[in-house]
Amino acid sequence: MSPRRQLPASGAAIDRGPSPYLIGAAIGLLNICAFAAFRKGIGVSGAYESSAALAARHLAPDAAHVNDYVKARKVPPKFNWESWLVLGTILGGMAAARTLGDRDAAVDDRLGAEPKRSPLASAAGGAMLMFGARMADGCTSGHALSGTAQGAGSSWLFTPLMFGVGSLLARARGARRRGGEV
Amino acid sequence: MAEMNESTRNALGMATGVVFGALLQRGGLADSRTIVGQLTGDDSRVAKTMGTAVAVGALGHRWLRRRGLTTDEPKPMNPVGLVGGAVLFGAGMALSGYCPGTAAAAAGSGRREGMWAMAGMLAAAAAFVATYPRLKKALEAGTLGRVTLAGGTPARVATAPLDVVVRPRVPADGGTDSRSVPRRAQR
Repeated sequence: MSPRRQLPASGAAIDRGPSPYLIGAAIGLLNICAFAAFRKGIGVSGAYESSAALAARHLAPDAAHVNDYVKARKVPPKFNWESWLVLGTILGGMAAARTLGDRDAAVDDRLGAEPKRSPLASAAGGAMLMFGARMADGCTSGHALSGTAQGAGSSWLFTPLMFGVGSLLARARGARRRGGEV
Repeated sequence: MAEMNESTRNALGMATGVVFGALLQRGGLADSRTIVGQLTGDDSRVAKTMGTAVAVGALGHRWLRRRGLTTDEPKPMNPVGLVGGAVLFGAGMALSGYCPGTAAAAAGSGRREGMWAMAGMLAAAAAFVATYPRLKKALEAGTLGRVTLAGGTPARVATAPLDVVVRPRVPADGGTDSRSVPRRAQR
């Protein structure tokens, strides 16, 4: 088992923000609104695909085989409400961090130098998971949040498997790091 | 509400996103360490947040569906795409500490790593667009259609058998598509 995250010795409880149950309930309610308004739950990764397809059509339609893509998908890519949702998510994260502060960043400073991820790790990881999300037709939102809430078999296969694989690899990585330090 | 026009839909999508992003940021989910902490077992906030969100969402979805206010849109059970995708997704999440939604919230809250993750995601989305015509067959091999867990396996509740999985996604703004009709009416 990996050790718990190191906290300052002062023992002062770190304010971790609102209860995760409260946040979760609010996300659930928001998703209910989406089910009613869009007849579809919150989904994020599809918008990355349609945005990429739109960009490819403008920049390099031949290299990206956009015509074949549209034929295979059967609907032309569109900048629709889901794309606006992703833009909104960026803005919402910005608004919350600006107005209410970024608690975790403050915790960060108190904890001192916790190793930051390299840009390469962030980008490569992001690339891997997005390709996986499009292969599976959904991500943590479309499958894990919305699909499971509808009892979709696909989502109940994807979600535990995805978290299981992530967990195994993250633990292996952590163990190797600690092994190197000790 | 299916008749709302496109700009209303887009505005509502944007508003949903703003609330979603703010909630992710407030919940500490715009920080890769929270997500990696969940994966290593050192932080349980992701499980608590998502578990609650799914439970609340499931109750609401049932309630809405019984009143014909929403429809079932289970994604097709494509074993190859789902298993391959889940493995890649899990590995990428362990490496970056993000997923598509949390990376957007992180980028918004000013985290560089969130911006890098988003850049990688967009690049991979472009790669997927370029390769999809060739991958499609493999991804959908052995598909079981739109399977749901509820009430045994009312598999392929949707409409006709296997062809539903290759049926195009109906445009989101199509007010007259089959999704506007409650599933029950189709059976």
